Amino acid sequence: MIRSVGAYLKIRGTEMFKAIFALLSILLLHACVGSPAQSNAPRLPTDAEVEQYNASVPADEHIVCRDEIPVGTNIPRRKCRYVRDIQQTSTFHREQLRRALQ
Amino acid sequence: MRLRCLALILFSLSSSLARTQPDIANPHSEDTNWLNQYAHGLGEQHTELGLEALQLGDYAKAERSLLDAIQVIKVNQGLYATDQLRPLQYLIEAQLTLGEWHAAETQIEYFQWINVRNYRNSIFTYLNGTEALSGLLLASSANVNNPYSVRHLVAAKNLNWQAVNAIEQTFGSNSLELAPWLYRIVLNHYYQSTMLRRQGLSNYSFKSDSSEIVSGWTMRHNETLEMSYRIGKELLGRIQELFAYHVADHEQISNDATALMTIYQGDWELLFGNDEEALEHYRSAYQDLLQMGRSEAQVDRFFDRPVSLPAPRLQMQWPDQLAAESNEPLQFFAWSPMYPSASRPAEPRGDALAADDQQTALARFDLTPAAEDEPADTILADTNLSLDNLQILGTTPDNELTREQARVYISLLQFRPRLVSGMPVKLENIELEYLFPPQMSLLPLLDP
Repeated sequence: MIRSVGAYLKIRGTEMFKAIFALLSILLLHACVGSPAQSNAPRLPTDAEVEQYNASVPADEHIVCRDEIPVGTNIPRRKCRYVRDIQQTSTFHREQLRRALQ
Repeated sequence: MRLRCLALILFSLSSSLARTQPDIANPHSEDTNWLNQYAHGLGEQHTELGLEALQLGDYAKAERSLLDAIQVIKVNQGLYATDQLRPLQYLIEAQLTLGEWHAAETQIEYFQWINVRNYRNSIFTYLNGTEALSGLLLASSANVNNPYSVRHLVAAKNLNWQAVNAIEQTFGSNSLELAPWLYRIVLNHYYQSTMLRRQGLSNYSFKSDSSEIVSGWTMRHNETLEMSYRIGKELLGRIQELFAYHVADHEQISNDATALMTIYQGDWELLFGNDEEALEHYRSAYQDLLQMGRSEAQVDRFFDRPVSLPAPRLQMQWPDQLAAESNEPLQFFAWSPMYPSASRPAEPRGDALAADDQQTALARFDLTPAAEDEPADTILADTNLSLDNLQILGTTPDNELTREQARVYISLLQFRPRLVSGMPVKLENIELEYLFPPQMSLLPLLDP
């Protein structure tokens, strides 16, 4: 009897473990693919909204939004930046590279 | 000697004064025009002369008259006078046609400067001005000789966005006024993607939007095309939401408008090669129209003839009269070799294209080809909607080069398929009269 109860608990434990594993997997996947609207992150502008904004400001205030794949993950994330910031970062990296090569 | 010279000068001065004296007494004399060259009515007169010359294709004369008109209006009414906009519009058109790009740029800036002031006084005057200027820039971008064609296309698109901003600020973001402007931006994106496909431009806006090229940031060719596709899709969706809002709340628009927008969404998918999604939209629109009370015969008749895409104008109402069944060939007025698959958005001015110079071609082809053993009029659930079995039946002028040009350019066209019961139908032996764009001879053949 004790043995059969032990076997029963063992079977139930395995099932429970499987269920918990499945639940965790679903939660993990959901966290990966969840839309920004469901999280606390602010909603980033759509391509049309970006274009509408860019049409009404000077060229140096334009923004660019695109999907980028950060290091350490394969999940693309939408990033929006000012063109002037991209320009500055680019200049900075070129300078760094030039220094390193000298 | 000195005295003699002085006497001679005095004599000549007095004689010239004596000659002009009777003219001053009679201000209506023809010889006194120089005295009244800034008379108020002359602005209008010069504008009409300029327009007449523009219609006759004498662009240099048009330019002179229109510059005079603007000068007269400026003198009489001041720098900000909105009466300048009409002659300015014609002047920009003349200068763009003459290839005077820098002069045209200056006038475009001046036009915008006056027009933005209009926004404070009357938004409708502002919108009219913006529409005119955007149309001119778009037409200019289609000119194969224009070194700034990309820049002008982007400028036209930006003007449309500025109009959208103005409408949103004045009437709110649910205004029905937004619909035609949003559709113009969708078309701009189609032209942009055509240009990208042909010329392989990347980093599109930053190459063209300002004189300074921004380095350190580029966008892949495909990424730019995808962005145009996404923006077009989003804006068509937004127009549909606008229509749905007005159907539900204000009844300013008929029920059919939302179904018609679903057809436009199908067209957009088709233009970007998404045949499955396109068919899904067409089926959905078909069902919606039936649910809205249209009979099956009416809807079938609406989809009876293949329609060339993209549609140059937004149709917001169900057509009062559906086209009668006809065996006449379809007609396609090609706009420009710069946008080889697009039909012209507006009628050309005056006799800009004399009938004698018009190159034409008569072609025959099949649409929605199915498996070979299926007969015509077979309903197809899943099909390739491309144009097939193209034959050139004749061209004007009749020579090998024109035939080859017709073959290449007609193969680029895209059509909304004929639908029966919401499903595409195979169409065989469609005849099309293709009217070449005016600048066809200036461009080399494309690879098909």
